[in-house]
Amino acid sequence: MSRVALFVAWACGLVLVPVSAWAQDAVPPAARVAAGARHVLTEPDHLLAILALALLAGQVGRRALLWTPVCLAAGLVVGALSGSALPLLAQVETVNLTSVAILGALVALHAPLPIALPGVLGLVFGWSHGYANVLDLGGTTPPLAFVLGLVAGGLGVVVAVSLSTSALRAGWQQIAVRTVGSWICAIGAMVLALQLSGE
Amino acid sequence: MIARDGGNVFGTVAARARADANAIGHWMLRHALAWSLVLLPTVGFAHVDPAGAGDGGFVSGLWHPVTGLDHVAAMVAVGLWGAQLGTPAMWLLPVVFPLMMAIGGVLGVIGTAVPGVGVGVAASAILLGSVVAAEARPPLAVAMLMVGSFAIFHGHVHGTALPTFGVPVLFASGFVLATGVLHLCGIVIGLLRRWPAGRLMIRGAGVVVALVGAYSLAIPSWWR
Repeated sequence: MSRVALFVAWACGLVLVPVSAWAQDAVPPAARVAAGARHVLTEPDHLLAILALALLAGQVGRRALLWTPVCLAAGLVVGALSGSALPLLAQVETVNLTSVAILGALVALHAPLPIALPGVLGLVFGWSHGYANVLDLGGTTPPLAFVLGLVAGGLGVVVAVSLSTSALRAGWQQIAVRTVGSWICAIGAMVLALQLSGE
Repeated sequence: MIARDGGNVFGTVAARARADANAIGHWMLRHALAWSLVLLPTVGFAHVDPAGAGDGGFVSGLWHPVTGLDHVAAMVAVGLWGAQLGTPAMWLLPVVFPLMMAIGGVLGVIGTAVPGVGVGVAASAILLGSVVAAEARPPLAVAMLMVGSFAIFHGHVHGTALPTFGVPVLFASGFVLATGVLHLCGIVIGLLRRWPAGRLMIRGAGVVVALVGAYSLAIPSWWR
């Protein structure tokens, strides 16, 4: 109980310190952090891809549970901060929708996969989803606090969902995960087709 | 766990439950025709107006499959049939359906014509309703092939209706989720098969689904 209380106090402290430190700024970094987290949690293409990646990591289990969040975070940071270093890559939106379809299909098929694959996919697609924010801002790098929120939101989903998924043991629960994967794949494939058809 | 002899408290409860289930089943079968007649006016109007996709958001997508009774009937029948077949079919059919629906959806989005889409949707209700009514138990691969083939027609209809306005990914999320919920409804209803009256009721539901499909198929020739 005392450990839980200490953890809650520590977490509250982390949340409150930035707010008090930058209370007088026009746009406090805490608000930017919140905006970054909100962005990744409310944009359907980001959320679906990250959800599917988390389900995949949970299905693969073992070290994928550790490396997938780390690789995703690295990919998001590099992607979001590489804005000024790269020419404007408009095709990234297509890559993001492709990631939704591919990750959803992998979850639905539930084929035996290398343990490293979710991490590699997290790195690659983390980069594209991070870079999409550069695209939204017309080629400029988003503020560091926003990127921090982006990573925090993404990590929160991946850690919570992948750990929950890996804990599922009953056959019907694992099939339910595959069903969600098939839904994500269907959504990604259809919207990807819509984008590629030039509508 | 519950004794069958009726000689103790648990047996009496079980006997009462069976009697109640039988009564409910008979009542529902007696009224199935009446209910189907009440519901008929909405039959066959599935996806008649693809442009009527509302604001192109999540709620519009959520409503899209529900607006067509032939589609609803076929989706529920997938769940019912899965429940009749038992595991693993009960859980695999709802996985196969969205994956194959995606293929049909992509064809619809890119404008590739699939011959007889309307007939295919209605035929899916007829055939799925028939196999539920007959309690057919083909090999799993055949069941998956059958459901997957029909999913292409349903997906094509959805893909054609995918709006170019609003947020297409939200619209797609809505109708995929609604489709999954309809499958789940079928599975939950299908759990009634553990009771004799429940089995009868499910077979009766299969007949209703097939009739819905037949009516939907018949409409274009004389109604429109």
